[in-house]
Amino acid sequence: MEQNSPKFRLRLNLFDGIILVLALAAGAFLLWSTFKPAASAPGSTASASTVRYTVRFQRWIEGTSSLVQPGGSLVDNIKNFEMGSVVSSQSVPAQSLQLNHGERRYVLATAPGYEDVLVTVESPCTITDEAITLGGGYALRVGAIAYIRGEGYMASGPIISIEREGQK
Amino acid sequence: MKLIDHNGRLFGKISVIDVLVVAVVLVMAGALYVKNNSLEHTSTSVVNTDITYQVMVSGIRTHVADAVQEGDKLYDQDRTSGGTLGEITAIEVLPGEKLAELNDGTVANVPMEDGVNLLLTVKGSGMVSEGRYLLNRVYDLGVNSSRNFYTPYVQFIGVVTAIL
Repeated sequence: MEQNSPKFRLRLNLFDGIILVLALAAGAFLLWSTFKPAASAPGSTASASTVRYTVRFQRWIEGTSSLVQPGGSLVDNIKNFEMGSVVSSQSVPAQSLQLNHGERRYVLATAPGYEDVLVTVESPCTITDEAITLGGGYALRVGAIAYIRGEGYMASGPIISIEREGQK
Repeated sequence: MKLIDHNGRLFGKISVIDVLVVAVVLVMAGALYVKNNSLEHTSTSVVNTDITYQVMVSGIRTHVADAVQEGDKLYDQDRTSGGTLGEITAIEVLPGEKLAELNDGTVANVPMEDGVNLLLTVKGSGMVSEGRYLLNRVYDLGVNSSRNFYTPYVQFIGVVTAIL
């Protein structure tokens, strides 16, 4: 016995058609924006290189600067980024900027019993227009305080210079 | 004649849902038009202009000052800037001074050993709209704003002292 059921027919009116077209266009845009190749900003090229910089380890106990040996590796003590290996080091008097109230000026005062260590470091890096990045994430900049773990010691102090390409 | 018939059609002609859809499409089209043509900072027809300004960097150590060079690009550490804030076009080195609270109860700008002040002139790109200076159309630039700036080589705190 044949069933008497209504036959399905796809009928679109004008507005259903408009909605369909809009939905398809929105879907196509989303797909395009998801899979399009990432456009790089003009001039924002990244290149792998090697950088040499100097960090001032501040206020070390006098006589302990011999712990810093050429070839020793340094690591950022906060996020564990590789910061390169020591090229050379030099101990200098520990100094900090202090206000001299009598002379009404800031002076560099020496702290007895302590020394600062100027450590020159070499590290692979990525250079862009915006930053020099060490170990995949540490933005190296003069003026920033670095917190460093070396081989058998901890140190902190400002980055005091970065050699630019072509500069010696 | 009923306003809406038993099929939900206005005056028996157009579905209420369809009318709503058309209204939404019209509103979206209108918003897009306003965004691209009427609002200056999002308009695609307004061209960016050069904005030159000066930043005073006070009381920095000489090793920090030495790392600031003409031609370096300037950025802000804390705020969305839409790219570089401009290029350093001139650097004026001034005697180093720093604000100090003295034990005689006064506050004074006093000289500092091994320190300098830098007056940087920076040339950026953006637009001026209704009294606002917008670098890259998104970064509000204003005299007296103190910011954590950086270049690829150095970071420092600076105060915008003039928009030229």
